[in-house]
Amino acid sequence: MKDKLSFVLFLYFFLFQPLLLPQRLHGQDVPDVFGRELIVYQDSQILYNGKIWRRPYYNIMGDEFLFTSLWLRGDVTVGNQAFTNRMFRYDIMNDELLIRRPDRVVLVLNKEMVRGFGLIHEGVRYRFDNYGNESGNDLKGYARVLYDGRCKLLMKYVKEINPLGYQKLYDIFVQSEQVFLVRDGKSVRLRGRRGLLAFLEDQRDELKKFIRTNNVVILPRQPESVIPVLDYYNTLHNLSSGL
Amino acid sequence: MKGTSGYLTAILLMGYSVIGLKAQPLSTAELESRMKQYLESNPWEEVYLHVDRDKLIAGEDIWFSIYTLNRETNRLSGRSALAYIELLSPWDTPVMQKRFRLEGGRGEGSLRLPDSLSSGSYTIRAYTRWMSNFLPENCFQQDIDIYNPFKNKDFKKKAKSGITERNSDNLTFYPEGKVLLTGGNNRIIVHCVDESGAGIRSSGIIRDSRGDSVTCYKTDISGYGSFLINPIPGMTYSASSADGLFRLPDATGEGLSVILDNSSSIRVDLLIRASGEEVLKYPGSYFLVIHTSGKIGYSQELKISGTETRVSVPRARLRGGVASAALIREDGKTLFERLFYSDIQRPFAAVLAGDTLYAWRQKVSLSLSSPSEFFNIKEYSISAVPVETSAISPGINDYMLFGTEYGAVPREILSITAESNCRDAIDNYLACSESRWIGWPEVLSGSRREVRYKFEQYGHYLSAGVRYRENMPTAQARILYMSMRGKIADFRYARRETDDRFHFVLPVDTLLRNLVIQPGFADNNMILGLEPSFPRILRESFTYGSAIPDTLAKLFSLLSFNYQAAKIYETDYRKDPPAGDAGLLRGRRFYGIPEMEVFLADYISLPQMQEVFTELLPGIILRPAGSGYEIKITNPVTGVYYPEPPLVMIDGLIMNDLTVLADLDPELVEKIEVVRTPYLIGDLVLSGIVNVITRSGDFSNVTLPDYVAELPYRVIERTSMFSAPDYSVEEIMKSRIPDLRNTIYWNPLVKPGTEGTSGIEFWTPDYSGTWIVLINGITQNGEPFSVRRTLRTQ
Repeated sequence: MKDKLSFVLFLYFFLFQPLLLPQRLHGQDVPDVFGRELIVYQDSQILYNGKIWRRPYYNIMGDEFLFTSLWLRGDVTVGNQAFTNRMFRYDIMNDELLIRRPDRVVLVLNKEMVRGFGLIHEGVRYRFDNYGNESGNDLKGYARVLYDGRCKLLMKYVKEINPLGYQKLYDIFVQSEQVFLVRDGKSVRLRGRRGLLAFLEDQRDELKKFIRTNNVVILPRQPESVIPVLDYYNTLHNLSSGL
Repeated sequence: MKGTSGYLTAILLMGYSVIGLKAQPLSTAELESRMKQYLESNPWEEVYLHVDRDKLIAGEDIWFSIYTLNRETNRLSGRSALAYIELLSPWDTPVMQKRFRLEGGRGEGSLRLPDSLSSGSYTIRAYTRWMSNFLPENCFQQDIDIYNPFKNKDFKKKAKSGITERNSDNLTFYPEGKVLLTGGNNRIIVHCVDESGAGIRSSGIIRDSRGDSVTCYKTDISGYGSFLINPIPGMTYSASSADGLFRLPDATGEGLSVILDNSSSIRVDLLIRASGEEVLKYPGSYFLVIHTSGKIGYSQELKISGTETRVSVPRARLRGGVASAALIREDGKTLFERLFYSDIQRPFAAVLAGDTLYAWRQKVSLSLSSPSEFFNIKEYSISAVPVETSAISPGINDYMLFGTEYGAVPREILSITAESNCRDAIDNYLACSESRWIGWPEVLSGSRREVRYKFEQYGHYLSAGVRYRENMPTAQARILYMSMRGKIADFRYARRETDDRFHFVLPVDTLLRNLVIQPGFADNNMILGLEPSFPRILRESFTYGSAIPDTLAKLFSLLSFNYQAAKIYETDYRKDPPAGDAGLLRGRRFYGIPEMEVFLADYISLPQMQEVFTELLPGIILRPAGSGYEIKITNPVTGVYYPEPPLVMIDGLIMNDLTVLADLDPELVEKIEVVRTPYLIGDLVLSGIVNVITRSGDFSNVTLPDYVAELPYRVIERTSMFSAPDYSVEEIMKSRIPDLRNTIYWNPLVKPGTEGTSGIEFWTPDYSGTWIVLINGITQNGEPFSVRRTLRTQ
């Protein structure tokens, strides 16, 4: 019975389905006049550009990634093009951004092309900019932007392997952070109040007065403490340049 | 057997149900829905160029502002990111071809005419990539007279081909409603043209086959006219004029004829006459549908039972512009389509000037004013030129009345503006025309026009194809590589599309790229062909030489003197932008930081590249294989060779024949960069990359095979600025250098200030004459508008 029914249905569609086609043409079948498919395909050459990732670490406690070893949703700017809603992991041991393609192949994104990226972790978006690999600067590679202005405040996350650091039996990843100030393409590691004022020497006296008046305490371990000073520096700069 | 017949009956019943579903009768809602779907799949774009002048001297600049409009909405179209501009010679060969950026449907540019051009009638044409699908008609075209004082032997003119002498083709009759029906009055449109295809005044008498006079006809300056005739069955009719006898189409007693009366200001009247059994005995309904650019303003279901049916359509229901009335039978058959002119409520504005007569080097202040509170300007372009140099340019709203939808609009019709109360002439022209965009048979069948080019909304398409030498069986190319010659390697690829073409999408910028395109796995039987981005699809025309009329000669003499004076005093009214991004592309390596980077200068010199690889690049081997060479890379993880060879480049050129690499003199090599791990770009996996960079970085001593194409390529041109003297500075005002600008003022984009002011200020030149200010622009609600004003200097 089942076979006969299948036979009837087969004949039905074989004989009469072509008659339905013109009706379907009046449906939602709108041609891709904008070439969107081609654009998506060409864009994938810009985004998915990198070496195929292989995990290099075994038998080490922890992982080499920032925040978590899970994939985090985020966005990336490659060249002048922004790509949103992709899955990333940030390997802070090697300072590389990993991306997962829809087919689950993992790539180490070409660092020369990535201008910056954003990661969403526990509802908070963390923004990272690429500061390149130029010699003469202390700051290299990706760094989190804590404050953006004429003088930027950045945090560089680093992981290192501490040999036999876990119960003297296993190697372990250890994370540390470094805070940097960047102005006019120059960067310096923030070590304290004196270093900050030396770096912002064009407004040194004004900033000194501001710190004293507002009882600002600069602690490199708490980079947020620098933000009011940088904010004030920004205002002073805007005033002097007439913005 | 019984069971089988039962199944067959079931199949047939279901089949008939499907056929029954197909034959579902039309309704007005269904017509609207099908029109909407048709417009989605078949958009129509128009380009309008506001050109500063149409009379120029060879060597001068031609300035233009570009407007791209969506015909459906008559608003700016943001669907294309670049416009293609061509200057065609009197022989229709391209003299200049450039692309310019479009943002939100607007763009600007200029062309510096070569000073070696011959005198003659040139054509500037403009289109987008989408419009290339419908060339040669779907493009903006304007004739431009260019004069070369040093080559003034002959002035070459261009005319439509096919009309080289007066013949029977120069008087044509178009029965309204397509057929000449006996038993009542029919209107016949008559069109008379001269040898160049231009409409001319003409008159004559219509006689029947017995030689009796029936009626007469008369055409106006546009070459169009109409007359009514009541044909008698069995009789033939001819028009006799000074040029001879022209036969009218034969009358028939079967069919449907329509007379459209467009003379009333409040309604449009249609008289539908039916004759013959097929029409009168049709049991179903008819639909009268009127649309303007796809927007259906009126539709009515009709029953045609008698020989005459009258319908009155209120004009208020119709959108302004060119409307199309169609009669469609319930079964989807279109019986007639008739275009007619429906009045447009145009945005009205005037140019206010402080004065009408100006002295030399006097400031001119202009502003736009409108009595309508709804007329708010978004932006506009403005030109101020001697009046004789811009005589025939239509404004944007006049141009957009027809656009290119009905083919090449005769100049005589274009010059009739809608304001000048010439509805009859326009109507007569439209009655003989048909839309190349919307036709009810296509709308109802759901068909799509064949398109080769897509909209360039996100980037510029560079397309290529691979063909194969005859009788040479070869593997089909499935992938094309694009790289760039230079020390910084760039790479992308394109896969073969269903139409056997390959498309690269380039960013819309002014960078000059040295592109090298080749098949991924090539052999010598392949020949690469790059598609020209300017298709050579042109209207047929012929060129003939003629003497320059005295008035034109006088004008060209003045323009030429002004141009030569500017040359002598080295005055250039064009300011080029700084060459910031004009140089070659300076990017980053597409593969990022290589895993190995070997500078040959750091090592002792080796005589052969094979030795260089063996000694300096562990894990990479270059060795002879068959009649050539092969290169292998070892997987750094497993230590075994990858089965596929790596991508090998020399100065950005991808090498398929490794003999070139093996024969390379190591003394020429600066460094070798290697990526040893598998590298992924898009969905293409490369088993490593080897890039050999020579000291010169251009590896120019290699002859490229036929399957490789190399071309310097700039997607869009940089735009220059028109720069007129500013006499507010006293020193400039006192300058003894004559200011003889042929274009007095040009600004391709003026945006009103925050207070809504839209004033323009410029200074008059050092010669007297009448000049015209032409403003084309867009209002805040997106409507195009155009204003003119004449002023004088003395």
